[in-house]
Amino acid sequence: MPESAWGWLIVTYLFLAGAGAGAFLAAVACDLLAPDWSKALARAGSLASGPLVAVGTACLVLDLEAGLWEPWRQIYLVNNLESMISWGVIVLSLFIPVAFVYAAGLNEITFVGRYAKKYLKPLEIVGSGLAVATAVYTGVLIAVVNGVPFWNTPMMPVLFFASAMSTGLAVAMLGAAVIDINTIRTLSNFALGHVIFLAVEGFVLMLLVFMSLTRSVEAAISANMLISGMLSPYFWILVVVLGILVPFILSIVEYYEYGAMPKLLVVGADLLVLLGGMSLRALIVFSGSPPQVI
Amino acid sequence: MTEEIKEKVQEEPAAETSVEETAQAAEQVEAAAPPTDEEEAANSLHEKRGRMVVAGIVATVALSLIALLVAGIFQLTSRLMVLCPTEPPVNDPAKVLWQAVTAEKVASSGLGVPDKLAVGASFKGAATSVAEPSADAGRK
Repeated sequence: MPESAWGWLIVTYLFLAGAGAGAFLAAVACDLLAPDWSKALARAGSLASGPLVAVGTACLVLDLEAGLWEPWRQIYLVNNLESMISWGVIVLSLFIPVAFVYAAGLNEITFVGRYAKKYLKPLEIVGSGLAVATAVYTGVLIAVVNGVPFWNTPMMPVLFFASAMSTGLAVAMLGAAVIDINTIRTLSNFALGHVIFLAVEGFVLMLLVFMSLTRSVEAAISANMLISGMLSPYFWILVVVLGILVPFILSIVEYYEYGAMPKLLVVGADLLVLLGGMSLRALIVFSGSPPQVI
Repeated sequence: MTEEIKEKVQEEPAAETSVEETAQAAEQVEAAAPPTDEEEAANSLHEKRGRMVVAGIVATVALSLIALLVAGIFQLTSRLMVLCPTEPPVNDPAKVLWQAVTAEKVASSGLGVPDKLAVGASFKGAATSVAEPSADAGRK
């Protein structure tokens, strides 16, 4: 594995925070736009989003070793508002409680839920803005690193947002299947979401890789590492084939067959989306090549 | 059974039954009585909420497991990978030529006395008067 300044904790944060934010957006979209299709999907998405982003943020804090052993130093994280990192900390700090309160309100859990149920719409609006910011921030965190030219592109937040949406939808659909397996028939309606987000993800990923080949020497080294180098087996098998192409085709079939597809394949497509999402983040992090010193 | 207990509770309040026995009988009635629609709905809702919270926890655990799975795949298979050499060194003169170009060159020194030495030393021939050899020199 190539050496990288960032390790698995950051990769796990990127994956869990993206999936959590995407699950929140899927839940809100389902609750606002199609409440009759599947209540279970909205409930599962809302319940999963808070814990996922919280666990992901814990991974981010664990990676900050100085901040972990001397936690009072973390106040400096919000000290400089010109830094994107500071804004990321603020967004995460706001999104996690909002996600938990929204989940409690939508599912009427405890007295907090009974109270929050009265304010579901404002929670959905505020939470959606924060969820978009959280999903985009996972890409921004990578894109602001000037020292790694492969990451330093505005396409990175777009790629991470598209991936967050598809993985979040997969989480919500899997959760809905756990809550009520009979709802899996109505989940076919949401397969169109997978088709759209996986198509965008694949397109942006292709653009990122091929533009990197001509952007700079370092970016070309990273892109070559992905398409024909040391990381290429993971890239082609885990990300392109298993993470994008197979679920893309399965989602098209699921959408047109409307509930006739075996449940195992529906759940399998969602699991593959998650596998591909995690692998994509790992490959982006590990393929980041620093500037060459000549 | 339920009817009997109900009758016992309702028709014999004046009988010499203790308060404890009455309470026990009432509890039995409650336990044996079929749940009303409201109770059934509440129980069902309670059960559903339980399942929902479980779904949230399951989703988090499942995603963490997927993250671990991918990390495991990467860690295990990366040891099996053998990196192919991209620049075969066979008969490749590029490295030798590049070394020849970039190697530190030793400046060729001119014949005769080096400049530094010539400045710092005075020679016998250059002296104004030739010193006579001392007696000690003869002994040597």
